[in-house]
Amino acid sequence: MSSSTAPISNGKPMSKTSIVFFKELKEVLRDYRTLIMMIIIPTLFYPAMLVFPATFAKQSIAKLGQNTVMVGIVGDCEPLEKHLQSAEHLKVVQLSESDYREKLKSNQVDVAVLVPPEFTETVSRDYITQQDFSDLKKTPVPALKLVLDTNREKVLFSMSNVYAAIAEFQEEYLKKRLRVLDIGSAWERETKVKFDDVSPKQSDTDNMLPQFAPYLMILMVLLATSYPAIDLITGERQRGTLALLLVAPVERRSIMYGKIIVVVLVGLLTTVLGVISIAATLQFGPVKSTVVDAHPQFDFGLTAWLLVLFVMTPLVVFISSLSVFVAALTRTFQQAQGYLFPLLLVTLFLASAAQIPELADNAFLKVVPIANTTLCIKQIITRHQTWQGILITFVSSTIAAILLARSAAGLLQREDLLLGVQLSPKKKMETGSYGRELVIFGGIVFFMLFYFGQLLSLWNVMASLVITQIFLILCPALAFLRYTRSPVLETLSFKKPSPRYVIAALALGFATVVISMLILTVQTKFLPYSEAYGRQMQLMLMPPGRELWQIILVAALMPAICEEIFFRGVLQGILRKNLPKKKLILVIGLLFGVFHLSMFRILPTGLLGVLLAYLTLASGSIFPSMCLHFMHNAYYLWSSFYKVDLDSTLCISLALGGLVVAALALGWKPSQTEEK
Amino acid sequence: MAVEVKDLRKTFFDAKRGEFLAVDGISFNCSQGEIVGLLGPNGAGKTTTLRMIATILRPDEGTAKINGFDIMTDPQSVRKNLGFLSSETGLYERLTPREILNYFGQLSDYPLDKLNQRIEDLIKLFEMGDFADTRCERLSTGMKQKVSIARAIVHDPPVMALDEPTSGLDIITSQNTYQFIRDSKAQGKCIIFSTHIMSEAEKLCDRIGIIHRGKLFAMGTLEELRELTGAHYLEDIFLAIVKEQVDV
Repeated sequence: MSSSTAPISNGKPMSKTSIVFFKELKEVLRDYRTLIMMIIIPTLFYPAMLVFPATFAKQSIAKLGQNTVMVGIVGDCEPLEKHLQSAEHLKVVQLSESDYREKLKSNQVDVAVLVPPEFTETVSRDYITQQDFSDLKKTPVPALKLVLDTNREKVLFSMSNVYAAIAEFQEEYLKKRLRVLDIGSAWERETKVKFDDVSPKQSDTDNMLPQFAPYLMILMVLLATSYPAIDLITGERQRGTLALLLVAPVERRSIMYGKIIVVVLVGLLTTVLGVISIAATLQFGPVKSTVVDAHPQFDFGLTAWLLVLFVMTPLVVFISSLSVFVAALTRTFQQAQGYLFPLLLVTLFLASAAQIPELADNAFLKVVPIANTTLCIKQIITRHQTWQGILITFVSSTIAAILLARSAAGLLQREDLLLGVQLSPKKKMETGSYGRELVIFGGIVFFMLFYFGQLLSLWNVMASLVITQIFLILCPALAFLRYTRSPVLETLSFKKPSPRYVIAALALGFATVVISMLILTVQTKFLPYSEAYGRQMQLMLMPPGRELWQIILVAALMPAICEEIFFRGVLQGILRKNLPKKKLILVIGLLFGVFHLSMFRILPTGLLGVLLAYLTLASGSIFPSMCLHFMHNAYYLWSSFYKVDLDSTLCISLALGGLVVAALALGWKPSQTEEK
Repeated sequence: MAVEVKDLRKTFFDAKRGEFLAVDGISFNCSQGEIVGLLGPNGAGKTTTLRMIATILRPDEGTAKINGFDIMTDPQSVRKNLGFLSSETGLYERLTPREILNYFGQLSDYPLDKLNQRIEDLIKLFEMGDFADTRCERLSTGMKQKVSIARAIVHDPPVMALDEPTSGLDIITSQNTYQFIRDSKAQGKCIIFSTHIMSEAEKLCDRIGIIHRGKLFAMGTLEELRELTGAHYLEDIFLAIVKEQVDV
């Protein structure tokens, strides 16, 4: 933050950030739209959202149970018909075989009971005649058939009345039968079952509360902070006041921090008000009996709410910075609103990740902002929280919030964002201003791989590999290159490499497979390898009925070309202009690890990515990394195909040999003429 | 010299034209008590030049000194010594004129014990007494222009950069602005002023610079420009200079 200070009347110096903060606060408090989002919505709307659906659903379910069900009987069975007629909430009509489907379709009847002639015959005979037991076994009573449309809510919720009436009839029938057989007195000692539901008032709606509450809070913060963020940044730009600030002797970071603090304050106030009003509604509102009292397993006490506020605090800073960040990228209100929707989707996507039961225990999720807080709030409400979990969530969200606030604060330095000045592709390349485009591009490719790639692999493994490599990796990379108008050969580092890098790449191929295996072995001790994932990988890389050369072509050669063009070509080629070398290599490596869509592979594949990025950067050519990538994948496939024991002494010795050769090749300094 | 502009260059890009020089090596000076006008059609590079002088944009090459402070190495001192006004700059709609003046006074490090008096003086000078405590959203265009000017000089800067300050204003409001510029000159301020209105430049400026396609083609008093081109009216002078240069 700025160290420049201005004296104020009471003699204390006031920082420029504070001057900006107080002015922005004054403006925000004078804006009724922000006030509505900040105060009215959390105090009135969210509690109402909590109360109405729960109460309404309960009432309508109860009401549906009271409805009269129209039962059409197809066939002729007087005892059954009489019985159903006498049952509560049922109205019985006679239908014919030919028209019952029509009547069901037109909702004239809710359920049709098909009575086969044999059923009627057996039942009426059973009532009057005394039969031999052995005969009974041979002629079982034919089944009744119920025909209904379960898509109709009324039918679904009131069917219990029909089932109960039929069950009663069955019982009646059995008793009569026993009497006819004259064994009634001996058997008529009924065994009764009483149900004691431990959560008698529980319905699905109530059960959703722990899932629903975190969503509600995160949504609340995002909506409350996005408006002031857009107003204070995009609005300032659109109203032409931003230029005034830029010519005032204030650091641009101070301006941004002043604004971010106001947005954070709005977010915090909204959160506190929201939590208080939700807590008060649950404690004193009409849903107390159905939600709080009926669910002793949920914690709605003061400590729980204080914990919720504690974990929400860094998240509020994170979401506020996110809102400011997005607002800083936009020039008009319309544009900002356009950005808000995808932001909302991503936020809800992250929040929903925590709702997937298998992911709940995932260590990785605990450090992902939004997802970790959602999970933590859910655990607090369901009394499953641990101190470690709360602490990890708090610390990781705080770190993420600080990083995001810092990068948001830096955005006012950018002329293209400030004044709509367009930078030329050349200049963008020089200054590395493709950050926004790269994030959007990377995000799209990642989601496409995640959804389409996985879907495709369910259909046909080999074809999915080919399609993924060409259409989800290579084509988007080339399209992005075209979009940025980057010089193709230079960006992709298509250059003849010095032979020593090729030698190093070839030598490292087998060594990297062995090292990856060793890393996986160690990693498994901390992050147990999922068996399902292992099987899936095996199936993907070793599809049954394929020759090794086919697999190598598809799973080694294609990735070596397509993935290298994507990562070491386009991403690295564009990012190398604005990242220092070490950071660049780490970022490319990490992205390479993450894009393989598996927790287990982030470390080994990420490290391979680091090595590949280094090779490209050091040699100035993409071909050594293509060679290494191909060799690595090919050796891996070969060893899987022939079930080679990679931690045998021979393999480890060969790997060490490869490392020595690579070290010699990389360490050898050629004379100047050769290098030229 | 209060302002020394030296070989400023700035490249922009748009999809149609590709990369182009919005400002192509502009140099000029302006001393205290002088009004220098930059005259040129839309897109000539006037606004970009003034924005670079006002430290809003960073030049690709060249630099400028404002009251001795370099825009590249000491932008904060430049900002303290510069008042900037443009037709595009707005006001905070939810604040009152007094609050706006106070905000920018504080941001510009104006001595706080003297700030209130300074604001009162400005309110009196621009006859803003009736609306000094009304939110800006309720003010008329003329009132807003007064507030904008007062805002630009609340910290009493020795140099002023005015980017088409009368664009979009009616005659009476424009007259107020002219009066303010003349008064500032009388107080010994250095004023750089951009416009595309010939009469405005003729009336106000001590020296006029002709800008076209990012280049400063000529700079001098009206008399000097007349001598140079043999034309009498500024419009003809402008056309003569631009035509000659572009033909070459």
